[in-house]
Amino acid sequence: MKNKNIKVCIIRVGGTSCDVETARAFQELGAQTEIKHVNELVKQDSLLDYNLLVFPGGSSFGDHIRSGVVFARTLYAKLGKQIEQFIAENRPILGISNGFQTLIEYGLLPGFEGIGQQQPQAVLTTNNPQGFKCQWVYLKNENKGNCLFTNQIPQDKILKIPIAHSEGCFLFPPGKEKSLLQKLVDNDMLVLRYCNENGAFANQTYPANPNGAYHDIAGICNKEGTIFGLMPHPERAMYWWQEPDWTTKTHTTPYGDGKLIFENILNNIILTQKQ
Amino acid sequence: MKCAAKIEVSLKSGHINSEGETTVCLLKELGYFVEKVDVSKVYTVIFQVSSMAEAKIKAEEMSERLFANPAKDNYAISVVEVVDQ
Amino acid sequence: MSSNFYVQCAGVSDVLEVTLAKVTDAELVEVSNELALGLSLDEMKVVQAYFKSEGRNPTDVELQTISQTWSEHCCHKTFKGKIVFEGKEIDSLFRTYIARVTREIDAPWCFNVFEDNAGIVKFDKGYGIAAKVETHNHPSAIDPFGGAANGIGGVVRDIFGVWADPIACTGVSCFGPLDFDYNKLLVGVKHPKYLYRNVAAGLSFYGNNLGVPLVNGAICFDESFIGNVVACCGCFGLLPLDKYFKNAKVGDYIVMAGGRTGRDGIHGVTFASAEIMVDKSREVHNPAVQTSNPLAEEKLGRAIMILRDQRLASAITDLGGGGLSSAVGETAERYACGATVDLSKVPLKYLGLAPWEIYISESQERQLFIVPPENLEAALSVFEQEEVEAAAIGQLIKERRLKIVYQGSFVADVDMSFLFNVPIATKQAALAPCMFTEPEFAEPVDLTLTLMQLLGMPNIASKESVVRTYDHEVRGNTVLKPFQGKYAGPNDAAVLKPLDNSWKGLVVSCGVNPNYGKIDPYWMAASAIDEAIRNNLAVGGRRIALLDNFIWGNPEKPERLGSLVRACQACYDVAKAYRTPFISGKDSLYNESQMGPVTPTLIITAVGIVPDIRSTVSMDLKTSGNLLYLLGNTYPELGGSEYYKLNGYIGVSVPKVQPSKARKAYYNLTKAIGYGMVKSCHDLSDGGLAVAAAEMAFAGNIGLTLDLKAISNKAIKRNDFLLFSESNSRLLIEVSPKDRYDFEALMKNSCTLIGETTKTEELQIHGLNNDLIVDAPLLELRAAWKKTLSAEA
Repeated sequence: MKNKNIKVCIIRVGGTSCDVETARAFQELGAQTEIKHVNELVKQDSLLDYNLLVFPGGSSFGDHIRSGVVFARTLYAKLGKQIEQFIAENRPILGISNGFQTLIEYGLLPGFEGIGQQQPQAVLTTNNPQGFKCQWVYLKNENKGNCLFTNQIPQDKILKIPIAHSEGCFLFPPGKEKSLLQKLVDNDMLVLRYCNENGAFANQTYPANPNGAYHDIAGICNKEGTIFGLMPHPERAMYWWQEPDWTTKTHTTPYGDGKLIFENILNNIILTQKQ
Repeated sequence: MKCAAKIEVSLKSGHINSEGETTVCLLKELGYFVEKVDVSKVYTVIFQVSSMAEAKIKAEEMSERLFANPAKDNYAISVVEVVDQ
Repeated sequence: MSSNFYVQCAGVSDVLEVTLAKVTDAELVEVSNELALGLSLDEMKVVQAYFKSEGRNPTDVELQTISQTWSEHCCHKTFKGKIVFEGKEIDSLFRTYIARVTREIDAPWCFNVFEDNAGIVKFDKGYGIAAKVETHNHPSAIDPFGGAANGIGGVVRDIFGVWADPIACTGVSCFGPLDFDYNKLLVGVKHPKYLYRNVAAGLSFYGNNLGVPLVNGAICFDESFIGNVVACCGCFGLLPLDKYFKNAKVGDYIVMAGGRTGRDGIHGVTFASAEIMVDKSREVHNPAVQTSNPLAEEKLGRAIMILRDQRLASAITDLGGGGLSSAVGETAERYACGATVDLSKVPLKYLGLAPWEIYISESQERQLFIVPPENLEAALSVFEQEEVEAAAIGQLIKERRLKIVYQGSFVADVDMSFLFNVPIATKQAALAPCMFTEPEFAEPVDLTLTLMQLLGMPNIASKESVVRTYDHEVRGNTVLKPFQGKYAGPNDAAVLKPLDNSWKGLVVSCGVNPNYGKIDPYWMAASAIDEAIRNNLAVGGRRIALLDNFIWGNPEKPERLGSLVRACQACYDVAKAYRTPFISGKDSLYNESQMGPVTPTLIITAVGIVPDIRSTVSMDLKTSGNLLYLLGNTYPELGGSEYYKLNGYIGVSVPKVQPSKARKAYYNLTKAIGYGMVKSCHDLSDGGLAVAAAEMAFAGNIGLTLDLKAISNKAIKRNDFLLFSESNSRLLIEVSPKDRYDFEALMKNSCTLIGETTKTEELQIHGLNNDLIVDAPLLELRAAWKKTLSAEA
């Protein structure tokens, strides 16, 4: 199997806005990529035709109630059965920014107790300091190889990718932080953490940690490593010319760090198909 | 019968209330020296039920499934009957 | 209502007939006031005569329709009317000065200008770029959050209105000083800080939720904006030119889609054309502000792009100022037909709207489509999939009349030729003398300190705390961002890469300097144009088109109108000389409050292209050991400068523009950028040479040493004037020593070598007598620049 045989579905609803550039990133790598309104997917009953599902960024349903919650409940109500089967078959799902919020609200991440539960076990909440922030951050790959979206990226590698959100502060329920973090670590579900340009963790200080996230968490995956969510936007760090300081550098590669994530999952899809 | 369930969602203690803290600073600039600002959101849901007990159960379900995220939110519910004029 | 001119219309509820035939002149004025028509006595007389000839009384629906169609906001009476100035009659400022530039330049790349919702220029691979900039000042003064949000929403719908997909927004806003004393505010006027925060929050809320990046803009502070906040929003869109459908015909359906119609925004148009009554504004004008829903607009946008790509509609227009009244009327007029509309079919937010309210409501997120009968079903199913409410509410008809039905009865039936034959009055214009004199004061001893103070002046200081709340990267095509690199220096323009299969870039910049407008509106306008152009050039932009936004006081007052005429003259003179056509524009007049009129302000948005984004130049110094050149001449022009302001003066020596001279230098600069000789480039504006040099140095964290003796102007004997003069048409250019010969040969005499980049992280400037007059670590300069507004978001 080659990238061109991989079918990627980017799900959109009202308020989705990062679908086109996310699709472009997968298309750049040769994957067949379709952007589908959730209503089209319901009509076509075809979710299982795809190898990879992406919940893109944006402000789905106007970010009403809590960012991502309405998207999550809509998906559950309209496509819940198909999504359950998709996951049961270990097909991967990626959630970026608003898509990460959606995965959390759906209960698919962290998903300690497996799928099917509707109660989120974590939250991506109002930034601290408060307010929308659009800026570039540094992320360290903390995953030891479980996550299908980063297992070919060297551990401890620093990635430079931008964020743009107002509700990206990752938190566990008060009092349970330590034990749940331990669970994340034990199951190798911790993936990306905010750090400074030298790789030192942000320790919840602004601006290296742009939103106050607990333990500088920027992205996590499920136990199986198939579902991955992150607040930063890798699709905005796909090409060198998207970087904020490209005019000061000479470029040897046509890509930015975001590409590593897209490439990684496509490689794994090919590997799984071969087995 | 028709009922109105008032669901108030507020932040669990133990979480940083960044919106409230920002508001404290803003009020200070306007000359109000306040100690604390708590922020909550109220949803008033109007629906048909057969009893007030059912209304309460339904409202709780709604809170758990949609309005509140147990990782950060508390919720409080009060239910009243609505009589159309 | 107090008077007896109103009778219930037979057979239709909620419609009044107005017995105009018998009323006196005084009563005509009374009717205009009572129904908030905003029509003058002369205009009311024309209306009276028309209905006399029709042999009946008008309904309130008809009067409101006429009021909207004839309003300043919709038909631009000031810009299109006659003006007597200095003994001569000007027949339309717009035609005489603005459109004339475009007509005379006659650029082949102007695809569609001034006619539609937005100007369109050709881009690449069969695509065009649509551009529009609107002001939303009056609503923002009352409700800054909603006003600014709807500013974005409205201008995006203008872009939808030419079938373009929005790819970037801009925002220019002006406020009173943030430290203005609360006790000096008049009742009802909101504090600048409140307005500043909420305008920013509104722009951020709408743009971010919509998913359109806000990439460029400016924020200005001046006391004259205290009662007259300025919120100016621009949008740029991409459209395949072969899908620019504007071929509606008789029999096509009028389809309305998007948000429902409510009472919000009633009389927004007549409101924008009247001075704000400060003390009553809360009660009187709030209905004129509309609620905003970016989610509805996002869905509407998706549906529009599908309709376009499936070729389902024959025309489109936005529902903006004047609501259905303007959109339906102007569409029918444009395609030389008439229209019928059934107001009962318009989806409403709530019951109880009178037909005239439905017809002129300015509820947001609505768009009007003209759909051929054979496509109606398909079009409606597109809306259904995207969860957008839509309804066919009427049809285009052959008879040149506007016929409005409600509950089965006609509530309006007027001749199109009457409706669009707007009575135009002649206005008087005069020039007010300048009130200022040139100050005399000693040169400061510590110019390093002065530079630090200037960097912290609100108009110069970093706006990062606000700008980072706008998503400037969504859609992933922002090549040059508002802030440059690690140290977040202020880039001169934004560059976008709109097409995946092309390296061609779109360059967006702006120019605004209200302070000059206090001294001379002509040079204020000329400076704004020059600034917008040189910002565009600085990053590599060329083939530049301009958009104008005039923000003025009440044009009924001859001095205000006189300064407007002067500004328009500057627009013609300067834009013509630079060969930069105007492609779209908008005027916002009547910006007056009890705290005085707004300072006449022209906001210029420039849109250029860069043939290959890989040659884009940023403003940060790149490496030590490079040469720094100053392009352009420095004159003792400090009138209206930030330096004079710092010292408490305004002065009269306002910067002028010599476009024929500058044009040649600009042309060569573009060539040098194309050849890759320019390592960094930055425009000189507020704060002059010293501020621009400091910004370049701390943005790149590269030291810089300058020598003022190299600047060849014997007329300036003072270091401070050389450092802080705001003469136009100047840029700083970093060049590698290896390109020195080629660069100098190319630029001829337009550039002066004034310094070089160094290894020490410091800015050092030597004065006319060789003394080191500025000596500061970059860290401190950067901190001074970042501090002022850092906590104001």
